[in-house]
Amino acid sequence: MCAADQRLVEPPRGVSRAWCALVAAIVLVLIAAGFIVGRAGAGRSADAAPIADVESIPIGVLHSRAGALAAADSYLVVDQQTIEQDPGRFRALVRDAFATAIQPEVLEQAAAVRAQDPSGMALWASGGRSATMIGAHRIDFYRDGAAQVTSWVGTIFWGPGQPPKQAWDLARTQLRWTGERWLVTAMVTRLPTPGPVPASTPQAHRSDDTAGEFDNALAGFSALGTGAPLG
Amino acid sequence: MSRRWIFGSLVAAPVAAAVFAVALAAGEATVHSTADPSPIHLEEGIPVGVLHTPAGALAAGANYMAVERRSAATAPAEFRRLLELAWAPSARTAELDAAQQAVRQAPAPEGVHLLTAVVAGRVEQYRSDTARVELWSEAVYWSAAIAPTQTWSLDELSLQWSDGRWQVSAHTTAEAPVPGWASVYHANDTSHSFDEALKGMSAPYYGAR
Repeated sequence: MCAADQRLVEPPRGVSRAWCALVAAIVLVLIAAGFIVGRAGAGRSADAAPIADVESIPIGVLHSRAGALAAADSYLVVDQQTIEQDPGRFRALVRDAFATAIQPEVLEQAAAVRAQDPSGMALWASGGRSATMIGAHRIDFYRDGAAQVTSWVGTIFWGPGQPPKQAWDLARTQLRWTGERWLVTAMVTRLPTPGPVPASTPQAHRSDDTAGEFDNALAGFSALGTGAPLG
Repeated sequence: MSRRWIFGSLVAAPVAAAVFAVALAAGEATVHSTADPSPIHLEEGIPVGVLHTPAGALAAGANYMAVERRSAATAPAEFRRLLELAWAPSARTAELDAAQQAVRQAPAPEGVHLLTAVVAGRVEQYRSDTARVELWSEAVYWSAAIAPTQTWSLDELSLQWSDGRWQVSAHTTAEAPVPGWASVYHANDTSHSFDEALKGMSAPYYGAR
C-alpha cells in the first residue's frame, strides 16, 4: 500500500515514512471506533437476557437491579416447584445457584420438608400438579454485589382427590454476585408475616372448578417460571 | 496533484469503510457471544416482544396480557401506549373499544391498587411470522374501600411478527379455571394487610422460559 501511495504522490522518502505512519494510525482509529460503536449498537438492539439456561436450571447472569430481581424470581419459582416434586432438579438448582457454604444445610432442610409433608408427597406421587407464580416483588437493597429481594409468591396445586387450591406467601432471597452469576446466600420461602390473600374471588365456587376441569382447561400449558407442564 | 488526491481518496474511502464495517461486526459479535438476547425490550416502560421464536411469542403474549390487565382500567395512557407498540394497527380500535366498554360497565374505584400475574401459557400454533398463544392469569385489586378481590382470565392472542416485534392481531377471552383458597388466616385478606405487605412491590416481567 505504501509503495502504491509512493507511486501516486511521489513524495520524498522521509515523507513516505510519515505517510505510512499516518495511514496506520487512521486504520487503527477506524478499527477501534468500529469495535466500540459495534458493541454499543449491539447493546441497544438486543438486550441481554437476565436468565441463562444452565442444564435446564435458570441462572441469573445480569449484574443489575433488574437482573437481581429476575434471578430471585427464577430461583424461588424453581425451588418451590422442585423441592418436593423433583428432588434431582432441586439438587441441581442448589448446586448451580446457591452459595457453596449453605448447600449442605439447604439440602438437609429440603429433606426435612419432604419428610414433614406426607400428604403433599402423596399428591405428587399420584399425579398432582402445581404452578408457582410471582405476584409482585421488590428490591430491599442492592449494593456492593449483594441484593435482597422480597417476593409475593403464589402456588396453585391440584390432583386426584385434591380440588384446585391456591396459597400465597411472602418470601425473601439474598443474593451475591460472583462476577458471572447471582448466587443465593439465604432464602426464606415463607416469612413469619402471612402472605396477603384476596378476601373475595367472585368467579370461585363454580361447578367446573374441579381438578378434572383444570386438567382439561390447562392441557398443554406450561408454568411460565419453570416450563413445567400443567396438564 | 489534485487529480492524484481525488484518485487516492476514491481508493481510500471504500477501504476505510470496509475496515470500519469489519470492526463494527466484530464489536457486535462480542456482545452477542456473551449473553442470550432478551425476549423483551422495554420501550418507555412497555415490554415489547422482540424474539422471533415460539418462546419469544409466548413471552411477548404474557407481558402484553399482564400490562393490559394492569393498565386498561387504571392507567389509560399506559394502555394506549401498549396498543400503539404491541397491537397491529388493524386491531387497536377494537381492543380499545372493548376495554373502554368494560371500564364503563365497571369503572375503577379511586385509589385502587391492581396487581396481575400470568401463571401459565401455551403456544397453540407457530408459523414463521404468526403465532397463537393462550395465557392463564390472575389479577388482584383493592383500595381503602374495597376488600382485596381476585379475578382470573384465560386469553388467546393471535400474534404477527412485524417490524422486528410481535404484535397482537386478535384477542379473545374464555372462561378461566379458578382455584379455591388454602392460605386465609383471617388477618391477611384485608386491604391494610395488602398495603403493608406489598409496599413498594412491582409486577414482574416474563422471560422466554
